[in-house]
Amino acid sequence: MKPAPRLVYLIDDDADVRDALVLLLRTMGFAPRPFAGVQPFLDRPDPRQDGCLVVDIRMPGTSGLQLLERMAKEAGGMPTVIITGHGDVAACRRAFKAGAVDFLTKPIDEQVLLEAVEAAFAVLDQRNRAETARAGRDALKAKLTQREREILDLVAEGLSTKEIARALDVSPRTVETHRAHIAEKLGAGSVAEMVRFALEG
Amino acid sequence: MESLTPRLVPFLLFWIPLALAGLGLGAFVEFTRAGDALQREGTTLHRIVSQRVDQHDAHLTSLAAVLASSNAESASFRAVIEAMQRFYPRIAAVELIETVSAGNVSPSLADFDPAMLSARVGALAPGQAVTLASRSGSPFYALVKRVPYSGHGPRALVLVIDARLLTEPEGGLPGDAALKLSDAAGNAIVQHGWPLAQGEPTPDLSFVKALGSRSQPLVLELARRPAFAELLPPILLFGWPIAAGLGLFLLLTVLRERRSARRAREAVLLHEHDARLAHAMRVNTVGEMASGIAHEITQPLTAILSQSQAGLRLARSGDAAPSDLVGVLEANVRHARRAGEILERLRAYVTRREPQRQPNDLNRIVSNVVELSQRDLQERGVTLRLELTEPGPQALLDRVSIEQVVHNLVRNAAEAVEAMPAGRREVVLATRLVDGEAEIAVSDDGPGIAEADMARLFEPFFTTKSSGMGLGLPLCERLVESAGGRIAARNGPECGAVFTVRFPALANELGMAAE
Repeated sequence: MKPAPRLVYLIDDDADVRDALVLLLRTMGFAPRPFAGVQPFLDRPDPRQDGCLVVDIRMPGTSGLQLLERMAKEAGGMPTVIITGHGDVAACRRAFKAGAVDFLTKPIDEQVLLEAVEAAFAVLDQRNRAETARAGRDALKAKLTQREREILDLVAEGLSTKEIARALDVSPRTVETHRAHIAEKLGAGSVAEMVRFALEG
Repeated sequence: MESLTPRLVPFLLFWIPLALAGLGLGAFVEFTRAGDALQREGTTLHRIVSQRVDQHDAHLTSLAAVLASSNAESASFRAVIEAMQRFYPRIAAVELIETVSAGNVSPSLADFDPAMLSARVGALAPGQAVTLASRSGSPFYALVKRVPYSGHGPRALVLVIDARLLTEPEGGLPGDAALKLSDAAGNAIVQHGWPLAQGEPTPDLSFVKALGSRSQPLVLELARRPAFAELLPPILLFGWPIAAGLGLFLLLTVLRERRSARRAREAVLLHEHDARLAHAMRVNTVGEMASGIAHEITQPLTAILSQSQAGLRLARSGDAAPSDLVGVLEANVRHARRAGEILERLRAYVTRREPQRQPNDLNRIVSNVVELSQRDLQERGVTLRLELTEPGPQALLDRVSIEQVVHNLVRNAAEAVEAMPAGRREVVLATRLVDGEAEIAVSDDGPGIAEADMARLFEPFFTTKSSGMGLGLPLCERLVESAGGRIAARNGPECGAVFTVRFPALANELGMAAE
């Protein structure tokens, strides 16, 4: 089954440009959602996050840059491609600092637009994958007991079994047993894998 | 005629002192010259009189010699006296006196006091001579010389001299000169024209010198008062002021001509400068709008590119409906026209050309300016409100010039309200017909114009902006006035500034032409 077209939120105050870009994005196989300004976009009925944003810098009211900077502060803003009528270096730097994926000057060639939007979706996918992996790890870690979590942290700090035993005032054998349980619960075959859980989780 | 007064005043200011100074200098020179002439004449006369007086001494000496060899009644003595009197008419009489008394004085000596005469004779040493003035004031004096005599009592020869003839000048004195000859005691022997009449405005010239003779120590005095006409002869009195006036007039005329020629040249330069400046300002304004214009043109270009590429994709995919492609092409035509219009507007604005006065709708001008300024105002977060009267007032003017003026005013207003709180960032553009005039008013809610600045607003290089050149408003004024209108500034009723540009309304102009 063909995957559903991906959402591209397009914000530009110029109706002609908006219409043209919508048509172009549609022929590229995306599902463009046009908005005439930042406010209508923020007020959209279904604030689903799984899309990317193509937004003009210079607009009456809130500009594209302000939107970008605002979203950068909130966690999980959409990957954003900035488009502008003139290549202003200061605006460009501001855009990248605020986390823009790309900065395109009008008129925009289709190839450039396609690559930028695809790059934005790559960022989105990457972020989604990382999110999924992390959710999985969190689920596994939830299975550990309090004592086992303590020992996992000490292992991650680089302590040996004997040192952990001394620190927790238990016998090395007990520590070994806990470590075996941890490895079993997390499905980690090596110390390195265990350490990764401890750090990323 | 009224142009004469400003010319006459400086002329008189220079001419009167110049004429007076010239006349004064001329009079002084003439006076000095007259004084020199009198001194020269006096010296000449003094020399002549001295020679004549010395001749009297010689006569007496020769008479005494003749007398010594003969007697007073001898024919030779008489003959000498006769010859002497013939050749020297100033010798009025020659007498030989022995004892002087009231009774025996000869008639020729009647003028002289006998007692004085005898006293003088008695006091003289033999061979000595002395002068005696007449007692009656007649112009004669007696030269008395004691001669040696063997008889009893002193004997003296007396020459009675006619002082008028003695002082007769050889070449003649200036007619109005006064002359006086007096004896050593100061008694006048002869005088004519003496003393000088009072009341003349000019100062006196004088010459005084005593004769060198021992026997006749007379004092010769000359005096004269130059006539006014002599000091200021008509040629100087009238000629100099006229000559000075003519010269001054020529000089002032040449200077004025040169000044007006220079002014004309400067005016031409200024005019050329204005034209260049107006163009430069427009280009500069365009420069400021450039980013806005670039954005304006970028929009249709972006639309055209994206539409075309989308159209291509549709066409290549093979499953596009012809209506889709028609839609794409129609949109492209629309976008291309839009870009063309923007360029046309820009070109009309930047091109340097002669102003063309044509009937124009002020509302149309306002809407053109709105299109030009919109992007700039958006950038500044300033909103523009229109209060247009319908139908739009018509006036004869050069559209591009006046659009430039209104654009300038709108930009000034936007700059004035830029720093204001959001509610006051508004510029109002209004048109109306008032008193038969078509008016465009640009008002803002800014801080307004300070009273002190009001009078200088339209002065070149006066500015209240940190980066301003101070040329915007003067240029606006010139553009408006060259189109037959006028521009004015005032503060709004509550706050902010109001600039109005007014032209005679066209309907009104036509109506007047019809009358």
